[in-house]
Amino acid sequence: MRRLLNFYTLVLLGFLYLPIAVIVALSFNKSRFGARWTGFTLHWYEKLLSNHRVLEYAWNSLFVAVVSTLIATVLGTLLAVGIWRYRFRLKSALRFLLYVPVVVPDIVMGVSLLLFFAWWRQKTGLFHLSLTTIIIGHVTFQIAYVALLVKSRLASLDPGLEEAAADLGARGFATFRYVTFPLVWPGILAGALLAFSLSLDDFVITFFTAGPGSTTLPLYIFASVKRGVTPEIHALSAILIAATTAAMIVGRALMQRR
Amino acid sequence: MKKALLALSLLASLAMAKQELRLFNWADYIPEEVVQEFEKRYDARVVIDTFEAPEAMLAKLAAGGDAEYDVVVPPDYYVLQMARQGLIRELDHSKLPNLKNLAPEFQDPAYDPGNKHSIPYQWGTTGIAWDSAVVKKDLDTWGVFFNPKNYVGPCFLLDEMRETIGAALKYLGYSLNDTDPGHLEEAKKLLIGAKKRCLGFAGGVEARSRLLAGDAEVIHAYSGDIIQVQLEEAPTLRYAVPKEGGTIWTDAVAITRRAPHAELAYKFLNFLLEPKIAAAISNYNAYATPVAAAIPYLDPELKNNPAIFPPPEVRKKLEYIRDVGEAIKLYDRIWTEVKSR
Repeated sequence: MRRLLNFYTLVLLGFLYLPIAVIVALSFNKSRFGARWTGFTLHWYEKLLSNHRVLEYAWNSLFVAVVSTLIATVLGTLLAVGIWRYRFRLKSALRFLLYVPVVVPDIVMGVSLLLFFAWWRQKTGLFHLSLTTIIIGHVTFQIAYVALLVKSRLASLDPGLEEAAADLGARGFATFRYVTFPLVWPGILAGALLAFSLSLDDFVITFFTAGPGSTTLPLYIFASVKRGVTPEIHALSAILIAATTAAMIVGRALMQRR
Repeated sequence: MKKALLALSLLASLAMAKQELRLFNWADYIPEEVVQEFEKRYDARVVIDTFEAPEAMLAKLAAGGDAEYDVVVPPDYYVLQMARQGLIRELDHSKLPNLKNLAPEFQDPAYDPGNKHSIPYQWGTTGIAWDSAVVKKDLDTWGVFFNPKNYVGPCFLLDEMRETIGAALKYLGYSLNDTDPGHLEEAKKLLIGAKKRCLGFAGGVEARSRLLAGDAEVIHAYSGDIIQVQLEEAPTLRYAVPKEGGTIWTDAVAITRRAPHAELAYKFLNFLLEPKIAAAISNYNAYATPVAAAIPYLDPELKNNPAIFPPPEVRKKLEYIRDVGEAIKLYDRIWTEVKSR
């Protein structure tokens, strides 16, 4: 039985990680066309560092991910705290609405945003498709994820703590700053990390909201498929995988220190 | 001192306000040196966005992109359609003196008579490819897919409706723009038979990978995809246009109707027609250049390669894919039936 379990674990890990391993291996392959292993090389990493075009796309991706995550984390946290702390009419409706961006297919979100931006562009001359519209698009779905994660953290919180703070004379903001926030921040951090990674690899919504000069990495990789993905892209993917793994390790270490 | 600083910052902001050229192109289709040369010469910045399918490009332009992008790279059969939809503008030939560098057959191409709306960028053919280390004879017929007698080994057909139905029509001796329901029905039967013998349908790059990996022995392929690998790392690959004929295609370059930087766009088109620039593009992509004046600057293994520049007797048998109008529904139906068998 135990052996079977071990075997199952191995198969599962292989299933999850082999595709990633293949990308990393191909980034060191001398062959430009990838079908055969023709030797080890760091050439593609060198080429990547001098390919300012691809670096620009990577930079666009990072910029969108960082800015949209910051906005969505603030808005999402406020939303969750608001729902948790206050009673108001239509509260349950709002709670339900939170799930909508999570379950609506990306493609519907993307098309809706495209039409929405086009409509506003006609009325106001603003909202030209660009990095800004991509960021707005990402924030719309990130808020829901952040709010849901923060909400679940809040649910495990003793409401008595806030009442105690109020008893001791803390006002609304002070209570949030010194009591609620320190208690829920792992939830906020988890929400932010999730929002960040969702933004970084989002394709569908980005596709519909991108304009000139705002090609992101997923858009570029998708466009390369037909003409053959170059090993430079594999090298970049390997770097991204290493960077996100490192971020996860640091994040875990930070959480455990608390 | 203050004044000097002010002047400096003014200068800096002037330098920042470089003209921008927004190019909408296939991924990895223009070498970076060429782009940098243009940026340097015209003190401009080139922004490149990429598309993976012409349908996506068309959708983006129709959704207002024709006022955002300056230059687009549509396939031949899209040019007239885009002109009809008012997405690209009629070109002012007085701003394109380098048009004279084009080969005679590209001065008046069938897909855009008189180069009224576009200039040609790169061209190539569709045919068959094999590994001469595995298949020890020269192949010259679509029969490798469509006739059991000519079968040589595991094969792949392209997953492109017009190309693949076109190949079957060519094998039967018809035009690849044939709209006769009877002829298309014959093509369908051939394709269903081929599908059973072959490993299936695949995109150009995937089929090539399977050929390189040895899974397939003969594939339906684009010339440039094969020549690129042949020159760089697999010299035993071979490419040929079958004796029954094949497809010729040209990617064109056009200026959007509401291009924000139209003057710079004209400079860019004219620049692409310069002999050395056109040669650098072809050397990078391993596709043929329509710029006759560029041929002396091509790498020798491209210049004298009949797979890239087919000899006149082969050129005669090549056909452009044309808009077939309403008959496209017939094509769609047949393609669905073939794919679902």
